[in-house]
Amino acid sequence: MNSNDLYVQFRLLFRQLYDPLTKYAYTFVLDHTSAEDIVQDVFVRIWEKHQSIIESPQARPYLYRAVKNACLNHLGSKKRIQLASFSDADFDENNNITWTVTEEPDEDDIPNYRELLKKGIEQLPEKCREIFLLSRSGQLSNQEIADHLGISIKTVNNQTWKAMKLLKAFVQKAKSWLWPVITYFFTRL
Amino acid sequence: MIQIPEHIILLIEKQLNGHLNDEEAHILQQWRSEKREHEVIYQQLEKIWQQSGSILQETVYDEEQAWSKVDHRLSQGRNRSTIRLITRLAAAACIAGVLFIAGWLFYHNQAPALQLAKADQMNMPVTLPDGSQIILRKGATLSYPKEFSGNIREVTLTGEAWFEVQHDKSHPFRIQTKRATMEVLGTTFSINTNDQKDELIVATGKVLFTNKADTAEKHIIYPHQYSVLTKNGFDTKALTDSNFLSWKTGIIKFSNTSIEEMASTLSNYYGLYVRPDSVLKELPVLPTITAKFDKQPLDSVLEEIKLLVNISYRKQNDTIVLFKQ
Repeated sequence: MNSNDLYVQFRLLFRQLYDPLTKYAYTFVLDHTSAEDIVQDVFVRIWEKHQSIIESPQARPYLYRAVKNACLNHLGSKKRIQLASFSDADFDENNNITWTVTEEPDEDDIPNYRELLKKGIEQLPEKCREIFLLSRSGQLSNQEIADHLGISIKTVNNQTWKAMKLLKAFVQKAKSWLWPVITYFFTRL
Repeated sequence: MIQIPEHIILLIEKQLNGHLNDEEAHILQQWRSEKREHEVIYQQLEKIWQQSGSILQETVYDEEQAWSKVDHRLSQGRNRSTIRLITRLAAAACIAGVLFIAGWLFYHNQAPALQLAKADQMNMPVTLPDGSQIILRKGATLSYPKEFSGNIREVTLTGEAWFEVQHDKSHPFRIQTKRATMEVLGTTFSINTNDQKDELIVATGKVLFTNKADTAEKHIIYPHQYSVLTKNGFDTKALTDSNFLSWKTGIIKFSNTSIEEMASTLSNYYGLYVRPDSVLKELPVLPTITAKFDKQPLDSVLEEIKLLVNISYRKQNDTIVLFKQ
């Protein structure tokens, strides 16, 4: 493969992964400009120093790892220790997920369900959110996520479902206080 | 409070990921209809799953703008590294070339005038001085003399083209590409030449296919054969792709074609990147497609495919991602 074709390949990879990677970076640095800069730097470095990875099936996991490392470097060592240590033990918890069902109006009635859910995702516990983001962005398989974070596939699944459970609770809670608030406003009109 | 048994969670998860088999679907369906609460929970979960996926996959950052920054940064570095070597070689070659051409023109002031045909916007038909018909695919260029002189009819091609060469036994017809020479007496065939490879598909007659790097390596290609020359040499096999001429005819035909093959045909025809998403690729049983499209815009082709096999699509910039509905 000559250099031009490789560059096309590289461009395709960029197109596919720029947005999901930048979102991922944002979850660490919490700043859009830094997140974009970090991801762009990672791509530039790959072209300059690691061209061989571009065609490899490992390109995606590699990019996710490189972006995460770059984010942690950006944040400095303190935050790094706090964030970086993933282990199955952290997630050792009871798996009997319980779900409450309320026979209240359907979620369709909640104004801005989507906005609400967005907020819910932002409020997930850090590691849980990271796993949920990785698994729902559709770019990595669960196996790749497990390898990337150094945990088991089972933990990836559990955390994804923990996130689902938390989101559901979040939406439900919002619903239970939103309704009184909304009705309050309506009665005042 | 309701406990969802772990095996049901597993099934819901499989269902949401789109790989549930019939038996499992049955069990899940049973659980859902057991109690109203079960159905409610399922609906709620499905909604959260889909909405959160759509939130997380929604494009937030401007990839085009970011790319232009990266491309700019790299173009400086990219050129610098190659310039050093190339400039020296090029400078030397230029001087030699100019001297040579000057000398050549001085002594042989009757070099045959070359015509250049370039298919910039759309496919372009070209008729050569001997009556041969050529159709250039958009992007292809062909250079040929105003008059064929001497024993050989010679043209130079880049890109993809279809040839119908006038039969003339005493004047072989020769096509030069960067890498190969193809010689014929009179026949119809299609060539696609670019930096990595030369592809040749013969419809009638036969073509002598020669590697410039090793002129001892000659291959005769017969009708319904597909031959490709890369830096690794020749590879010739029976033609399986019935769509090799769709760029010229506008007709795309699929017959029990796999999704991936279909995606690559569409990518090639429409000049976009069409790909199945990871879930679709991993489905244990992939649907195949049998259909015929005649000069249809991509949107209508994708809509028809959606109806045929339940595969939907979404656009991300100029990539089209196919996914299971």
